[in-house]
Formats: sequence, structure tokens, C-alpha cells
Amino acid sequence: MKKKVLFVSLLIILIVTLIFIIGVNSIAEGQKEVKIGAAVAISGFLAREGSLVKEGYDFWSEYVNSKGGIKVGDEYYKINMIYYDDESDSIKGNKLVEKLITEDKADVIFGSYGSGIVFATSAITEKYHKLMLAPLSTSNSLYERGYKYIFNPAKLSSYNGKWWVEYFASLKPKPKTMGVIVLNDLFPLSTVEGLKKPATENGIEIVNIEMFSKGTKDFTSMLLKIKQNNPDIIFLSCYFQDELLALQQMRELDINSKLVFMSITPSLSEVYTILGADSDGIIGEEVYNPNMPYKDPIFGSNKEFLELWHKKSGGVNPEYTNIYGILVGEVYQAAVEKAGSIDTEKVRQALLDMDQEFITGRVRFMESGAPYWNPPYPLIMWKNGKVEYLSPPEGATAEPIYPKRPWSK
Amino acid sequence: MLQVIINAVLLGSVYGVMSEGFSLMWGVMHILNLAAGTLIVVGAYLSYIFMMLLPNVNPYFTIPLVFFISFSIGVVIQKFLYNKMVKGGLRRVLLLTFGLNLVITDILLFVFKANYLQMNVNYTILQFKGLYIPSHRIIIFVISWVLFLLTFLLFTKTKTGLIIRATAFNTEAAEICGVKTARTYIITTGIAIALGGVAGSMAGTIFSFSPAEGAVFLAKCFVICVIGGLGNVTGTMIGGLIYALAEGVGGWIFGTQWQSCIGFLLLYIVLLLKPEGILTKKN
Repeated sequence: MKKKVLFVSLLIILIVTLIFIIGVNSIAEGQKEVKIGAAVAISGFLAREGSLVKEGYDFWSEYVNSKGGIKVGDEYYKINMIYYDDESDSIKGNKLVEKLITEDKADVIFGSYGSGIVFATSAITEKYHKLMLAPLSTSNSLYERGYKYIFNPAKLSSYNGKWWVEYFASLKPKPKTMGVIVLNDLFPLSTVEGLKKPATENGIEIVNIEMFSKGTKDFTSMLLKIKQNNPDIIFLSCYFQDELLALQQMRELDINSKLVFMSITPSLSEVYTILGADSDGIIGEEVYNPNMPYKDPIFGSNKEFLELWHKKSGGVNPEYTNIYGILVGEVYQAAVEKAGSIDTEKVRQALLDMDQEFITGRVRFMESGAPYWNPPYPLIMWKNGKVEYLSPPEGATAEPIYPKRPWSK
Repeated sequence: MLQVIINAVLLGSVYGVMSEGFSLMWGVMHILNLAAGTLIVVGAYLSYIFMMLLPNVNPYFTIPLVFFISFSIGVVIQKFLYNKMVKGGLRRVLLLTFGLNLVITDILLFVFKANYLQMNVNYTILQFKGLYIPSHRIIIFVISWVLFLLTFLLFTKTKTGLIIRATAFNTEAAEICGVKTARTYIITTGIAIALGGVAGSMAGTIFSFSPAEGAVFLAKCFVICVIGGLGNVTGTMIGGLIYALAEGVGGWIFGTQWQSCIGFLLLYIVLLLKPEGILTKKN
């Protein structure tokens, strides 16, 4: 008898729960939604950067949903973000993007971090004629394939070289030589390719290009070869963990130069945490300057965006990877609202017609999906444990420490 | 070139300790522990936690704590997981250790996120005739060789070591002689994971780490174990030095992008010429 009562009670609870779930879903299904699929690096060697990109996607989608959703014509569509972990692996990324399109029926794909993975996954989106908006896929080769459905709002790596070298050449005394440390991977290699011509045009000789592969833990031989030539600039073109290792081993081997430049993620806090006072004077490019007075169609302005971000993060500034995750969402939203539709072709046209200011500045796209280069881009420098901005002038907070102080012993 | 050799020798000692545990498990129990790399990273995270909890204590002094906690982790893993699979065949072992690797990596990601961490230690740079030797690399070199010596003495001078070696040599004969192989395996894995954990703790003072680092360490362990000989404590240590020298000197001559390739080329040569390992006698 007791067992029967228990069984019936459990059955009733189960039925009520099912009704509740189905009921809630039915109510939710009443509101239209736009499905955004994203296979991002939550694990693997790009996990740090991938997680930050995802944070950016989440920040944007949660904010927009809190305001009712994306305006599509006269209706508001809720954003439904669907995530998978590509494990920093392009083969896995391909499978997941295909799943997002064919099984999850995503309306659009937001890209993973980095050019290598997106180079592969954009072939899938192109096959299915689905838009991919990639936050930081800046290797030129992605946009030389004649693809129609890939868009990226971050400037291409080939543009970087010209801007950076012009800045180096403006320093006094002008540096004459450069030694480069580069990871054997798509984006770092294309960055270095973009340095060569501007360096020659500006009278800076590249005396070393030392390449290494992923997983290298001993940079001694590379660094000693660079030390032999004693270049004025040491240029690091690799991902963040390798940049840290190079800097530490430079310190251990007492390899000094007038300028040390980090081309990727120079403002991550680990630079100061690990190097301490020796981080002073290390320069890099950031893609976002919080001091710039840009207007923004979603947040109102750069300043208002930053206030919202600080409220959520407890006062911590956004990383560049957060910023471009948010920017991808903003750009997509702006295009959908302009098109009045989530139809791929209409949104694509709206992206091509876009000429608008966002939190990072003006965004315009070429036919290939690459952005027009809109200088100036912020240069940052570590000083006394803080990130200072060297450029553009209206957003500058410090002068460069040039030449950089020798490593402390 | 001399600087390259010195740095390679200093780094190679850490590689050797890192690989000792992997070699032990493979040689004694025929377990190819695919979670070894991630368990090395766990050692680094343990050290990091102690550094946070005891900010005034030099991270090197937390090594004994890391050793004992890693030992305990090894005991638990062997008792509740691996002991059930030891005689299950290579495929089952690989699947189990691979799965464990994924679980541990995801736990680390959940707890610590993907941020790059490192134990900051104060060091001075000793200079001698144009050579630069950071003091913290000398310290970990010394610690590595002390650990090797203790492990060597354990295996050659103690009853426990003798039992482990006997079990590795002939499990059935050891059981007939009254050896409890399950218990022996537990102790062996405890020692193996403890050595890996300490190596991770030392490595975390010279380069940054994240949950994804395990794969890099595992690849190095694999090559070094083959060079040194499975289960051969001395061979593995020497193998670590040879591997690091091959990478360093090879990188100097041919370029750093060839370092990993040279390491695996060395593996290929050893497999061709002396597959049992450089210090292991054939049969």
C-alpha cells in the first residue's frame, strides 16, 4: 500500500513537472528568437583568449536581451546563444560549426578566436551560405579566397606592420634594427610578413627572424642569436604564453633592447604579475582605448559601455578579446536592425553598406568581408603596474619609456 | 653554444623528473598514463595554491607538501580506477587514462579558468665569463637530482623498491612469493604521480602554465621514457638531459622551429638502434 502511494505521488510530481516544462517552453516559443551559434576555444592552448571572447558574446547578448532583444522590423527577437567548445582545434571546430548549422539551425555563426581555426570553419559557413562574424581573424589569407559570408571588424595583420613601423620610426633616436621572434602559425607569420615592406621603407633593418613551433619551452638558442645582432627593437609575434616565456628568458639571459614590442594581448594582467617592475616600458598594440569618445548605437557611447562593463566586472577593464566579442555582436545587431530581417543575404548587404561608429571606432567592410583600415589604433605601454595609452593623441595617458630600462638583476 | 648547453642541462633535469613517474607506471604496470601530463600540471596548481595561502613562504619549501598530496592523488587513482584495469588490455587502459585526463583538465579549467599562472620566485642571475645562470634554475636542478637520488636509493636499497622491481620483472613470480601486487601498484603510482607533481611545481617557477599545458608535458615524457628505457629511473633522468640537449643544440644549429622535430627524430633513432632504452639491457 505504502509503495503504491509513493509510486503514484512520484508519478504525479513527474507529470506536473513535465507540464510545467512544456508550458514554459510554449510560452517562450511565443517570442521569436535569433539563434547565434559559436564554437569557441574554452579549452586547449587558446582557452584563455577564447573564454574572453565568449565573455564578450555573453555580455552583449545578455545586455540586448535585457532590453527586449534585437529589433527585427517591428518585432523584438530574443538572442539564443548556442556554444560549443572547439578545444582550440580547427578539425573539431569544423564539426561543431557544421552541427550548429545543420542540427541546431543557427541563423548566424560567431567565430572562434584566431585566424587558424576560422580559416577552416569559414569554409563550412561558406558551404552552407551562412554568415560568419569572426572577432579577431585578421590574417589576410582569410579574405583572399573570394568568400562572401565571412566578416571581421578587426584590422588585418598586414595593416599592423605599416602602422607599427611608422610609430617605431617616429621615436627619437630612431631605431635602426629589429629582431623578430615569431610562432610558426598563420596569424603571427602574416604579421611578420606585414612588417617587412614598411620596415624597408622606413629604414629599419630586420636583422633576425627567429621562428619556433608550438610547445617550445626553451627559447635560449633563438634569443642568443638575436643577442648577437643586438637589435634596437625586439618584436614578439606569438601568442601570449609564448610572449611571456620570451620576456622571462630575455630577462634571464640579460638580453636588452631599446624597445620590446608585444604584438598580441600586451595588456593582459599577467605581464605585470609575472615581470613586475621589469614590465615598465614594454609596448604593444591594443585594439581598444577606453578613453576615446566614440558614439555607439547599442550602448550609447564608449563611456556608457565602459560604465556598464565596470558595473559587471567590479571595475576591471575589458580585455581586447572581450571587446571584439562584444563588437561582433553589436555589428551583427546593427546590420539586422538596418536590414529589418535575419535573412542571410539581407544582413550581408547591410554589413557591406555599414559605415558606423562603435566602441572601437568606425567600422566599414570591404566586399571580401575584411574591414577598411581605420587608424589610428591604440598603442599601450606598461608603467608602474598599469597600462598606459601612448596613442592616439586624444586618448594618450603617457609618454613612451624609450629606451626601455635594462632588466633588473 | 655553451649557454645553450647549460640551459638545456638545467631544463633537462626537470624533464627527467617529470618523466620518471610516467616511466615507472609504464615499466612496472604497463599503464600508458595519458593523464600524466595533466597530473604534472596539477602539481603546479597545488604549488600555486600554497603560494597564495602562504605568501611569505618560498614556493620551493612547499615541494614536500606537493609531494605528499600528489602521492595521495596517485594512491586514490590507482586504488579506485587503475587497479581495475591493469590486466584489462592496452585499449581499456588508454581509454581510461584518456578519459581521466579530460576530467582533470576540465576540473582545472572550471576552478582556475584558462588564465596563465606562474609561481614568482626571486632570483639573481649568476654571471661567469659571459654566461648567465639564473639562481632559480640552479635550485630546481639541484632539487631534481636530489629527488632522482632518493628515488634511485628507494628502488635499489629498500625492500619496497625491491618489491616494485620484482613485480615489474615478473608479476606472477612476485605474487607466488607473497607480494600483494595491487598494493605494490598503489605505492608505485603514488610515487609516480608525486614525482610528476613536484616536477610540475618546479616547472611552474620557470614558465607559466594553464590547464591545457598537460599535452605538451605528456609528449615530452613519452619521448624521454623511450630514450631512457621504461621503468629505468637512471635512464629516464639521463634521457631527460639528452632530450633537452637535442632540442637546445638542435635548435641552435638548425633553428628553433625544428626543436620538436629533432626531439622526435631522436625518438625514432633510439627506437631503431636501441628500442629498450639507452641504459636498459636487452631482456
